[in-house]
Amino acid sequence: MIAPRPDQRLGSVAAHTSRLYGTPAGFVSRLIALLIDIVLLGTVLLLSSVIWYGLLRVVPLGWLKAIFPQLQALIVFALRVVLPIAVAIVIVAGYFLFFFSVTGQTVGKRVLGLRVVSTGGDRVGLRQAFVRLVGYAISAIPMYLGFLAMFFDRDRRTWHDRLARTAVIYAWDAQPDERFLAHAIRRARERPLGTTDRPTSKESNV
Amino acid sequence: MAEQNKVARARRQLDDALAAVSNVGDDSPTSQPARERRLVGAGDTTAASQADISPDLLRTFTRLVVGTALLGVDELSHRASGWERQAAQADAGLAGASSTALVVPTSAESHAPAPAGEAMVAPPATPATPADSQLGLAMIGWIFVTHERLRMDRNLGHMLQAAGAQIVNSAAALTAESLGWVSGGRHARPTAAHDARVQTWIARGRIESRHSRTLARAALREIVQEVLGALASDPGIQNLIQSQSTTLAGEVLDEVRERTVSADVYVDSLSRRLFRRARLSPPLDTGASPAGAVGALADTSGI
Repeated sequence: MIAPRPDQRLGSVAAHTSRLYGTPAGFVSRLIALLIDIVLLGTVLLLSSVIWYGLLRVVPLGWLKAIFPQLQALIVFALRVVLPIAVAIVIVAGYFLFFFSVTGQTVGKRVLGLRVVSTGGDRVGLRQAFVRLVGYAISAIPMYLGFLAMFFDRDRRTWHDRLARTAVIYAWDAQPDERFLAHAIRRARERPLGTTDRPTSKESNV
Repeated sequence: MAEQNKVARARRQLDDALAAVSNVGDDSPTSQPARERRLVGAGDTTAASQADISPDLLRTFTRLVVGTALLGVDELSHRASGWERQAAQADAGLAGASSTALVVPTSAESHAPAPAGEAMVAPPATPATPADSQLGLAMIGWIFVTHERLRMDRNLGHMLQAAGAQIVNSAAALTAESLGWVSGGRHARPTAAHDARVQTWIARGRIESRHSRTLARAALREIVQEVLGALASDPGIQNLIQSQSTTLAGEVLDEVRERTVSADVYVDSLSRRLFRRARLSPPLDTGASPAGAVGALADTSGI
Protein backbone atom coordinates (compact mmCIF):
# COMPACT_ATOMS: atom_id res chain seq x y z
CA MET A 1 0.00 0.00 0.00
CA ILE A 2 1.36 3.35 -0.99
CA ALA A 3 1.30 6.12 1.51
CA PRO A 4 -1.56 8.40 0.71
CA ARG A 5 -0.03 11.82 0.85
CA PRO A 6 3.22 11.99 -1.03
CA ASP A 7 2.57 15.65 -1.74
CA GLN A 8 2.79 16.49 1.92
CA ARG A 9 5.76 14.27 2.56
CA LEU A 10 7.61 15.61 -0.43
CA GLY A 11 6.77 19.14 0.48
CA SER A 12 4.87 19.75 -2.72
CA VAL A 13 2.18 22.27 -3.30
CA ALA A 14 -0.91 21.42 -1.32
CA ALA A 15 -3.07 22.54 -4.20
CA HIS A 16 -2.47 19.24 -5.97
CA THR A 17 -5.49 17.55 -4.57
CA SER A 18 -7.04 16.05 -7.66
CA ARG A 19 -8.08 12.45 -7.67
CA LEU A 20 -5.17 11.16 -9.69
CA TYR A 21 -2.43 13.19 -8.12
CA GLY A 22 -0.26 10.92 -6.03
CA THR A 23 -1.86 7.73 -7.26
CA PRO A 24 0.10 4.99 -9.01
CA ALA A 25 0.84 5.75 -12.61
CA GLY A 26 -0.46 3.52 -15.35
CA PHE A 27 1.29 1.32 -17.84
CA VAL A 28 1.16 3.63 -20.85
CA SER A 29 2.56 6.64 -19.05
CA ARG A 30 5.38 4.63 -17.57
CA LEU A 31 6.14 2.97 -20.88
CA ILE A 32 6.32 6.27 -22.74
CA ALA A 33 8.46 7.78 -20.02
CA LEU A 34 10.84 4.85 -20.22
CA LEU A 35 10.97 5.12 -24.00
CA ILE A 36 11.85 8.80 -23.73
CA ASP A 37 14.67 7.94 -21.34
CA ILE A 38 15.88 5.20 -23.65
CA VAL A 39 15.88 7.52 -26.64
CA LEU A 40 17.69 10.20 -24.70
CA LEU A 41 20.30 7.83 -23.36
CA GLY A 42 20.66 6.15 -26.72
CA THR A 43 21.36 9.49 -28.35
CA VAL A 44 23.99 10.37 -25.77
CA LEU A 45 25.64 6.98 -26.06
CA LEU A 46 25.56 7.09 -29.84
CA LEU A 47 27.22 10.49 -29.96
CA SER A 48 29.76 9.41 -27.37
CA SER A 49 30.61 6.27 -29.27
CA VAL A 50 30.97 8.18 -32.52
CA ILE A 51 33.38 10.60 -30.88
CA TRP A 52 35.31 7.85 -29.13
CA TYR A 53 35.71 5.58 -32.13
CA GLY A 54 36.55 8.58 -34.25
CA LEU A 55 39.35 9.40 -31.84
CA LEU A 56 40.58 5.81 -31.90
CA ARG A 57 40.65 5.95 -35.66
CA VAL A 58 42.60 9.19 -35.71
CA VAL A 59 45.02 8.50 -32.87
CA PRO A 60 47.65 5.90 -33.85
CA LEU A 61 47.98 2.95 -31.48
CA GLY A 62 51.09 1.43 -33.00
CA TRP A 63 53.32 2.76 -30.24
CA LEU A 64 51.63 0.39 -27.79
CA LYS A 65 53.37 -2.49 -29.49
CA ALA A 66 56.79 -0.99 -28.72
CA ILE A 67 56.01 -0.36 -25.06
CA PHE A 68 53.72 -3.30 -24.25
CA PRO A 69 54.49 -5.95 -26.85
CA GLN A 70 52.60 -8.61 -24.92
CA LEU A 71 49.64 -6.51 -23.90
CA GLN A 72 49.04 -4.55 -27.03
CA ALA A 73 46.10 -6.63 -28.21
CA LEU A 74 44.60 -6.62 -24.75
CA ILE A 75 44.89 -2.86 -24.43
CA VAL A 76 43.39 -2.29 -27.83
CA PHE A 77 40.53 -4.62 -26.93
CA ALA A 78 40.02 -2.73 -23.70
CA LEU A 79 39.98 0.59 -25.46
CA ARG A 80 37.64 -0.56 -28.17
CA VAL A 81 35.25 -2.79 -26.24
CA VAL A 82 35.61 -2.81 -22.49
CA LEU A 83 36.00 0.88 -21.88
CA PRO A 84 33.04 1.95 -24.04
CA ILE A 85 30.82 -0.62 -22.37
CA ALA A 86 31.98 0.45 -18.95
CA VAL A 87 31.41 4.09 -19.75
CA ALA A 88 27.97 3.29 -21.15
CA ILE A 89 27.08 1.43 -17.97
CA VAL A 90 28.32 4.32 -15.87
CA ILE A 91 26.32 6.80 -17.93
CA VAL A 92 23.12 4.79 -17.78
CA ALA A 93 23.48 3.94 -14.11
CA GLY A 94 24.50 7.44 -13.21
CA TYR A 95 21.55 8.86 -15.09
CA PHE A 96 18.99 6.79 -13.25
CA LEU A 97 20.70 6.94 -9.87
CA PHE A 98 21.04 10.69 -10.05
CA PHE A 99 17.51 11.44 -11.09
CA PHE A 100 15.88 8.82 -8.88
CA SER A 101 17.69 9.96 -5.78
CA VAL A 102 17.73 13.72 -6.37
CA THR A 103 14.40 14.58 -7.95
CA GLY A 104 12.62 11.27 -8.30
CA GLN A 105 12.02 12.14 -11.92
CA THR A 106 14.04 11.20 -14.93
CA VAL A 107 13.60 13.31 -18.02
CA GLY A 108 10.95 10.99 -19.42
CA LYS A 109 9.09 10.83 -16.16
CA ARG A 110 9.23 14.58 -15.84
CA VAL A 111 7.74 14.99 -19.28
CA LEU A 112 4.91 12.63 -18.43
CA GLY A 113 4.47 14.08 -14.96
CA LEU A 114 5.52 10.96 -13.03
CA ARG A 115 7.65 10.63 -9.96
CA VAL A 116 9.35 7.76 -8.19
CA VAL A 117 8.73 7.75 -4.46
CA SER A 118 9.27 5.24 -1.73
CA THR A 119 6.25 3.39 -0.47
CA GLY A 120 6.37 5.53 2.61
CA GLY A 121 5.94 8.63 0.50
CA ASP A 122 9.49 9.85 1.04
CA ARG A 123 12.09 10.58 -1.56
CA VAL A 124 13.98 7.65 -2.94
CA GLY A 125 17.37 7.19 -1.37
CA LEU A 126 20.53 6.25 -3.19
CA ARG A 127 20.32 2.68 -2.00
CA GLN A 128 16.73 2.37 -3.09
CA ALA A 129 17.65 3.88 -6.41
CA PHE A 130 20.41 1.35 -6.87
CA VAL A 131 18.14 -1.55 -5.97
CA ARG A 132 15.54 -0.23 -8.37
CA LEU A 133 18.14 0.01 -11.10
CA VAL A 134 19.21 -3.58 -10.54
CA GLY A 135 15.56 -4.45 -10.44
CA TYR A 136 15.18 -3.10 -13.97
CA ALA A 137 17.46 -5.85 -15.16
CA ILE A 138 15.67 -8.46 -13.09
CA SER A 139 12.32 -7.34 -14.48
CA ALA A 140 13.61 -7.35 -18.03
CA ILE A 141 15.35 -10.72 -18.04
CA PRO A 142 12.26 -13.00 -18.03
CA MET A 143 10.71 -11.54 -21.16
CA TYR A 144 9.92 -8.28 -19.38
CA LEU A 145 7.56 -10.15 -17.14
CA GLY A 146 8.60 -7.96 -14.27
CA PHE A 147 7.28 -4.89 -16.05
CA LEU A 148 4.02 -6.61 -16.92
CA ALA A 149 3.56 -7.54 -13.27
CA MET A 150 1.90 -4.20 -12.73
CA PHE A 151 -1.20 -5.56 -14.43
CA PHE A 152 -1.59 -8.06 -11.62
CA ASP A 153 -0.91 -5.64 -8.82
CA ARG A 154 -3.57 -3.41 -7.37
CA ASP A 155 -0.98 -0.69 -6.81
CA ARG A 156 0.45 -1.05 -10.31
CA ARG A 157 3.83 -2.02 -8.95
CA THR A 158 6.42 -3.85 -10.96
CA TRP A 159 9.09 -6.20 -9.70
CA HIS A 160 11.67 -3.46 -9.41
CA ASP A 161 9.15 -1.40 -7.51
CA ARG A 162 8.65 -4.18 -5.06
CA LEU A 163 12.36 -4.89 -4.74
CA ALA A 164 13.20 -1.26 -4.01
CA ARG A 165 9.97 -0.58 -2.14
CA THR A 166 9.17 2.27 -4.42
CA ALA A 167 6.22 3.35 -6.53
CA VAL A 168 5.68 5.57 -9.52
CA ILE A 169 2.94 8.11 -9.02
CA TYR A 170 1.33 10.92 -10.94
CA ALA A 171 3.07 14.10 -9.86
CA TRP A 172 0.74 16.51 -11.61
CA ASP A 173 -2.91 17.40 -11.61
CA ALA A 174 -3.71 14.38 -13.72
CA GLN A 175 -7.05 14.33 -15.47
CA PRO A 176 -8.01 11.86 -18.14
CA ASP A 177 -9.21 13.13 -21.47
CA GLU A 178 -12.94 12.46 -21.34
CA ARG A 179 -13.38 12.52 -25.11
CA PHE A 180 -10.58 10.01 -25.61
CA LEU A 181 -12.00 7.77 -22.93
CA ALA A 182 -15.53 8.02 -24.27
CA HIS A 183 -14.28 7.09 -27.71
CA ALA A 184 -12.41 4.10 -26.30
CA ILE A 185 -15.48 2.99 -24.36
CA ARG A 186 -17.66 3.31 -27.42
CA ARG A 187 -15.28 1.17 -29.41
CA ALA A 188 -15.10 -1.40 -26.64
CA ARG A 189 -18.90 -1.61 -26.55
CA GLU A 190 -18.92 -2.37 -30.22
CA ARG A 191 -16.48 -5.22 -29.63
CA PRO A 192 -17.27 -6.81 -26.26
CA LEU A 193 -14.61 -9.02 -24.80
CA GLY A 194 -16.77 -11.34 -22.75
CA THR A 195 -17.57 -11.30 -19.11
CA THR A 196 -17.94 -8.08 -17.28
CA ASP A 197 -15.65 -7.45 -14.38
CA ARG A 198 -17.70 -6.25 -11.49
CA PRO A 199 -16.02 -5.28 -8.25
CA THR A 200 -16.43 -7.87 -5.55
CA SER A 201 -17.63 -7.00 -2.14
CA LYS A 202 -14.08 -7.13 -0.89
CA GLU A 203 -12.94 -4.67 -3.52
CA SER A 204 -15.84 -2.41 -2.80
CA ASN A 205 -14.79 -2.18 0.77
CA VAL A 206 -11.32 -1.07 -0.14
CA MET B 1 39.07 76.01 -90.39
CA ALA B 2 35.87 74.05 -90.65
CA GLU B 3 37.06 71.67 -87.97
CA GLN B 4 37.79 74.58 -85.64
CA ASN B 5 34.26 75.80 -86.11
CA LYS B 6 32.93 72.34 -85.28
CA VAL B 7 35.03 72.21 -82.15
CA ALA B 8 33.88 75.67 -81.10
CA ARG B 9 30.27 74.72 -81.68
CA ALA B 10 30.63 71.52 -79.73
CA ARG B 11 32.27 73.41 -76.88
CA ARG B 12 29.40 75.87 -76.77
CA GLN B 13 26.89 73.02 -76.68
CA LEU B 14 28.80 71.40 -73.85
CA ASP B 15 28.84 74.65 -71.91
CA ASP B 16 25.12 75.01 -72.37
CA ALA B 17 24.54 71.51 -71.16
CA LEU B 18 26.69 72.05 -68.08
CA ALA B 19 24.88 75.29 -67.35
CA ALA B 20 21.58 73.47 -67.64
CA VAL B 21 22.78 70.87 -65.16
CA SER B 22 23.87 73.51 -62.67
CA ASN B 23 20.50 75.26 -62.93
CA VAL B 24 18.39 72.20 -62.23
CA GLY B 25 18.46 72.78 -58.49
CA ASP B 26 18.21 76.52 -58.71
CA ASP B 27 15.06 77.90 -57.12
CA SER B 28 15.29 81.43 -58.41
CA PRO B 29 12.09 82.64 -60.04
CA THR B 30 13.81 83.66 -63.20
CA SER B 31 15.30 80.27 -63.79
CA GLN B 32 12.06 78.30 -63.52
CA PRO B 33 10.75 78.57 -67.09
CA ALA B 34 14.17 77.98 -68.53
CA ARG B 35 14.55 74.91 -66.39
CA GLU B 36 11.20 73.59 -67.51
CA ARG B 37 12.19 74.05 -71.12
CA ARG B 38 15.44 72.28 -70.51
CA LEU B 39 13.67 69.43 -68.78
CA VAL B 40 11.29 69.08 -71.67
CA GLY B 41 14.08 69.06 -74.19
CA ALA B 42 16.49 66.92 -72.25
CA GLY B 43 14.15 64.61 -70.41
CA ASP B 44 16.12 61.50 -71.23
CA THR B 45 19.59 62.87 -70.93
CA THR B 46 21.85 62.06 -68.05
CA ALA B 47 21.83 65.60 -66.78
CA ALA B 48 18.06 65.72 -66.52
CA SER B 49 17.82 62.26 -64.96
CA GLN B 50 19.49 63.39 -61.76
CA ALA B 51 17.15 64.53 -59.01
CA ASP B 52 17.96 67.43 -56.78
CA ILE B 53 19.43 66.06 -53.58
CA SER B 54 20.06 69.32 -51.79
CA PRO B 55 18.82 69.15 -48.19
CA ASP B 56 15.14 69.96 -47.99
CA LEU B 57 13.13 68.19 -45.32
CA LEU B 58 9.73 68.87 -46.85
CA ARG B 59 10.81 67.70 -50.27
CA THR B 60 12.39 64.58 -48.81
CA PHE B 61 9.20 63.89 -46.93
CA THR B 62 7.21 64.35 -50.12
CA ARG B 63 9.53 61.98 -51.90
CA LEU B 64 9.11 59.44 -49.12
CA VAL B 65 5.35 59.63 -49.36
CA VAL B 66 5.37 59.44 -53.13
CA GLY B 67 7.97 56.68 -53.18
CA THR B 68 6.08 54.61 -50.62
CA ALA B 69 2.91 54.98 -52.62
CA LEU B 70 4.72 54.00 -55.79
CA LEU B 71 6.28 50.97 -54.14
CA GLY B 72 2.86 49.98 -52.89
CA VAL B 73 1.37 50.33 -56.34
CA ASP B 74 4.28 48.37 -57.82
CA GLU B 75 3.80 45.56 -55.33
CA LEU B 76 0.07 45.54 -55.85
CA SER B 77 0.39 45.44 -59.61
CA HIS B 78 2.99 42.68 -59.34
CA ARG B 79 0.74 40.63 -57.12
CA ALA B 80 -2.28 41.40 -59.24
CA SER B 81 -0.54 40.02 -62.29
CA GLY B 82 0.24 36.87 -60.31
CA TRP B 83 -3.37 36.58 -59.22
CA GLU B 84 -4.51 37.04 -62.77
CA ARG B 85 -2.12 34.31 -63.87
CA GLN B 86 -3.44 31.94 -61.22
CA ALA B 87 -7.01 32.71 -62.17
CA ALA B 88 -6.18 32.13 -65.82
CA GLN B 89 -4.62 28.78 -65.01
CA ALA B 90 -7.61 27.78 -62.90
CA ASP B 91 -9.97 28.81 -65.68
CA ALA B 92 -7.86 26.92 -68.18
CA GLY B 93 -8.10 23.83 -66.00
CA LEU B 94 -11.85 24.17 -65.77
CA ALA B 95 -12.08 24.79 -69.50
CA GLY B 96 -9.99 21.70 -70.13
CA ALA B 97 -12.25 19.60 -67.95
CA SER B 98 -15.36 20.94 -69.59
CA SER B 99 -13.93 20.56 -73.08
CA THR B 100 -13.28 16.89 -72.45
CA ALA B 101 -16.86 16.51 -71.26
CA LEU B 102 -18.48 18.51 -74.02
CA VAL B 103 -18.10 17.22 -77.51
CA VAL B 104 -19.82 20.03 -79.40
CA PRO B 105 -17.72 23.19 -79.38
CA THR B 106 -19.33 26.48 -78.70
CA SER B 107 -19.54 29.23 -81.23
CA ALA B 108 -16.85 31.20 -79.51
CA GLU B 109 -14.56 28.21 -79.68
CA SER B 110 -15.30 27.75 -83.34
CA HIS B 111 -14.36 31.31 -84.04
CA ALA B 112 -11.24 31.14 -81.96
CA PRO B 113 -9.95 27.58 -81.97
CA ALA B 114 -7.40 27.08 -79.30
CA PRO B 115 -6.26 24.18 -77.15
CA ALA B 116 -7.97 23.88 -73.83
CA GLY B 117 -4.88 24.71 -71.87
CA GLU B 118 -4.18 27.75 -73.97
CA ALA B 119 -7.65 29.21 -74.02
CA MET B 120 -6.85 31.67 -71.33
CA VAL B 121 -3.46 33.21 -71.59
CA ALA B 122 -2.30 35.70 -69.04
CA PRO B 123 -1.67 39.09 -70.54
CA PRO B 124 2.00 39.93 -70.93
CA ALA B 125 3.39 41.92 -68.12
CA THR B 126 3.85 45.50 -69.09
CA PRO B 127 7.22 46.94 -68.22
CA ALA B 128 5.71 50.11 -66.84
CA THR B 129 3.53 50.01 -63.78
CA PRO B 130 0.24 51.91 -63.71
CA ALA B 131 1.89 54.59 -61.64
CA ASP B 132 4.33 55.20 -64.46
CA SER B 133 1.68 56.24 -66.94
CA GLN B 134 1.79 59.68 -68.43
CA LEU B 135 -0.90 60.91 -66.13
CA GLY B 136 0.82 59.49 -63.08
CA LEU B 137 4.15 60.94 -64.04
CA ALA B 138 2.54 64.29 -64.69
CA MET B 139 0.91 64.24 -61.29
CA ILE B 140 4.13 63.33 -59.57
CA GLY B 141 5.96 66.05 -61.44
CA TRP B 142 3.20 68.49 -60.60
CA ILE B 143 3.57 67.69 -56.93
CA PHE B 144 7.24 68.55 -56.91
CA VAL B 145 6.97 71.54 -59.20
CA THR B 146 4.17 72.85 -57.04
CA HIS B 147 6.25 72.26 -53.98
CA GLU B 148 9.08 74.30 -55.42
CA ARG B 149 6.78 77.06 -56.57
CA LEU B 150 5.26 77.18 -53.13
CA ARG B 151 8.65 77.89 -51.75
CA MET B 152 9.06 80.75 -54.20
CA ASP B 153 5.54 82.17 -54.21
CA ARG B 154 4.12 82.67 -50.77
CA ASN B 155 0.64 83.37 -52.13
CA LEU B 156 -0.73 79.93 -51.60
CA GLY B 157 -4.25 80.65 -52.80
CA HIS B 158 -3.24 81.94 -56.18
CA MET B 159 -0.77 79.18 -56.62
CA LEU B 160 -3.17 76.42 -55.77
CA GLN B 161 -5.90 77.87 -57.92
CA ALA B 162 -3.71 78.15 -60.98
CA ALA B 163 -2.07 74.79 -60.45
CA GLY B 164 -5.38 73.08 -59.78
CA ALA B 165 -6.98 74.45 -62.91
CA GLN B 166 -3.99 73.49 -64.94
CA ILE B 167 -3.77 69.97 -63.59
CA VAL B 168 -7.47 69.38 -64.06
CA ASN B 169 -7.37 70.53 -67.66
CA SER B 170 -4.23 68.60 -68.38
CA ALA B 171 -5.51 65.48 -66.67
CA ALA B 172 -8.71 65.66 -68.66
CA ALA B 173 -6.76 66.04 -71.86
CA LEU B 174 -4.43 63.20 -70.95
CA THR B 175 -7.30 60.95 -70.03
CA ALA B 176 -9.12 61.68 -73.25
CA GLU B 177 -5.97 61.02 -75.18
CA SER B 178 -5.20 57.77 -73.43
CA LEU B 179 -8.79 56.57 -73.91
CA GLY B 180 -8.64 57.41 -77.59
CA TRP B 181 -11.48 59.87 -77.53
CA VAL B 182 -11.71 62.07 -80.59
CA SER B 183 -11.04 65.64 -79.67
CA GLY B 184 -11.20 67.24 -83.01
CA GLY B 185 -14.18 69.41 -82.21
CA ARG B 186 -14.29 73.11 -82.40
CA HIS B 187 -13.97 73.45 -78.64
CA ALA B 188 -11.45 70.70 -78.28
CA ARG B 189 -8.74 71.41 -75.76
CA PRO B 190 -5.12 71.15 -76.78
CA THR B 191 -3.71 67.70 -76.10
CA ALA B 192 -1.01 67.04 -73.62
CA ALA B 193 1.56 66.54 -76.30
CA HIS B 194 1.26 70.18 -77.10
CA ASP B 195 1.29 71.34 -73.56
CA ALA B 196 4.85 72.19 -72.66
CA ARG B 197 3.95 72.53 -69.02
CA VAL B 198 2.55 69.02 -68.81
CA GLN B 199 5.59 67.71 -70.59
CA THR B 200 7.68 69.44 -67.98
CA TRP B 201 5.72 67.72 -65.25
CA ILE B 202 6.07 64.39 -66.98
CA ALA B 203 9.82 64.80 -67.31
CA ARG B 204 10.10 65.88 -63.72
CA GLY B 205 7.81 63.07 -62.60
CA ARG B 206 9.96 60.51 -64.37
CA ILE B 207 13.01 61.71 -62.48
CA GLU B 208 11.27 62.06 -59.15
CA SER B 209 9.46 58.75 -59.32
CA ARG B 210 12.71 56.90 -59.81
CA HIS B 211 14.44 58.82 -57.06
CA SER B 212 11.45 58.55 -54.73
CA ARG B 213 11.30 54.80 -55.18
CA THR B 214 14.96 54.44 -54.31
CA LEU B 215 14.61 56.77 -51.37
CA ALA B 216 11.52 55.04 -50.02
CA ARG B 217 13.07 51.61 -50.45
CA ALA B 218 16.15 52.63 -48.51
CA ALA B 219 14.11 54.37 -45.84
CA LEU B 220 11.70 51.48 -45.43
CA ARG B 221 14.51 48.98 -45.19
CA GLU B 222 16.24 51.02 -42.53
CA ILE B 223 13.05 51.67 -40.62
CA VAL B 224 12.05 48.02 -40.70
CA GLN B 225 15.46 46.94 -39.49
CA GLU B 226 15.37 49.46 -36.68
CA VAL B 227 11.88 48.44 -35.67
CA LEU B 228 12.83 44.78 -35.69
CA GLY B 229 15.94 45.54 -33.70
CA ALA B 230 13.94 47.52 -31.18
CA LEU B 231 11.37 44.76 -30.91
CA ALA B 232 14.04 42.11 -30.53
CA SER B 233 15.80 44.05 -27.79
CA ASP B 234 12.66 45.06 -25.95
CA PRO B 235 12.37 42.96 -22.78
CA GLY B 236 8.60 43.20 -22.82
CA ILE B 237 8.40 41.71 -26.29
CA GLN B 238 10.91 39.06 -25.36
CA ASN B 239 8.91 38.12 -22.31
CA LEU B 240 5.75 38.01 -24.37
CA ILE B 241 7.27 35.72 -26.97
CA GLN B 242 8.81 33.53 -24.32
CA SER B 243 5.61 33.28 -22.33
CA GLN B 244 3.60 32.44 -25.43
CA SER B 245 6.09 29.76 -26.44
CA THR B 246 6.05 28.38 -22.93
CA THR B 247 2.28 28.44 -22.85
CA LEU B 248 2.05 26.64 -26.17
CA ALA B 249 4.57 24.00 -25.10
CA GLY B 250 2.74 23.60 -21.81
CA GLU B 251 -0.58 23.12 -23.57
CA VAL B 252 0.90 20.48 -25.84
CA LEU B 253 2.46 18.75 -22.86
CA ASP B 254 -0.80 18.81 -20.95
CA GLU B 255 -2.59 17.32 -23.92
CA VAL B 256 -0.05 14.52 -24.18
CA ARG B 257 -0.31 13.84 -20.49
CA GLU B 258 -4.08 13.75 -20.57
CA ARG B 259 -4.00 11.29 -23.43
CA THR B 260 -1.56 9.05 -21.64
CA VAL B 261 -3.58 9.16 -18.43
CA SER B 262 -6.69 8.24 -20.41
CA ALA B 263 -4.79 5.39 -21.99
CA ASP B 264 -3.67 4.33 -18.54
CA VAL B 265 -7.23 4.22 -17.32
CA TYR B 266 -8.40 2.33 -20.36
CA VAL B 267 -5.60 -0.23 -20.22
CA ASP B 268 -6.13 -0.61 -16.51
CA SER B 269 -9.81 -1.36 -16.95
CA LEU B 270 -9.00 -3.90 -19.62
CA SER B 271 -6.39 -5.59 -17.48
CA ARG B 272 -8.74 -5.66 -14.54
CA ARG B 273 -11.26 -7.50 -16.63
CA LEU B 274 -8.78 -9.93 -18.11
CA PHE B 275 -6.88 -10.73 -14.93
CA ARG B 276 -9.73 -10.14 -12.51
CA ARG B 277 -7.57 -7.78 -10.56
CA ALA B 278 -8.86 -5.59 -7.81
CA ARG B 279 -9.19 -1.88 -8.31
CA LEU B 280 -6.44 0.52 -7.45
CA SER B 281 -5.81 1.40 -3.89
CA PRO B 282 -7.74 4.54 -3.09
CA PRO B 283 -5.92 7.50 -1.65
CA LEU B 284 -6.80 7.92 1.95
CA ASP B 285 -7.12 11.68 1.77
CA THR B 286 -9.91 11.71 -0.79
CA GLY B 287 -11.58 8.44 -0.15
CA ALA B 288 -12.23 7.87 -3.79
CA SER B 289 -10.53 5.54 -6.14
CA PRO B 290 -8.23 7.47 -8.44
CA ALA B 291 -8.89 5.55 -11.52
CA GLY B 292 -11.99 4.14 -10.01
CA ALA B 293 -14.06 7.18 -10.77
CA VAL B 294 -13.30 6.87 -14.43
CA GLY B 295 -12.85 3.15 -14.16
CA ALA B 296 -16.36 2.85 -12.80
CA LEU B 297 -17.54 4.49 -15.95
CA ALA B 298 -15.62 1.91 -17.89
CA ASP B 299 -17.07 -0.87 -15.73
CA THR B 300 -20.62 0.25 -16.18
CA SER B 301 -19.96 0.56 -19.87
CA GLY B 302 -19.24 -3.10 -20.09
CA ILE B 303 -15.56 -2.94 -20.80
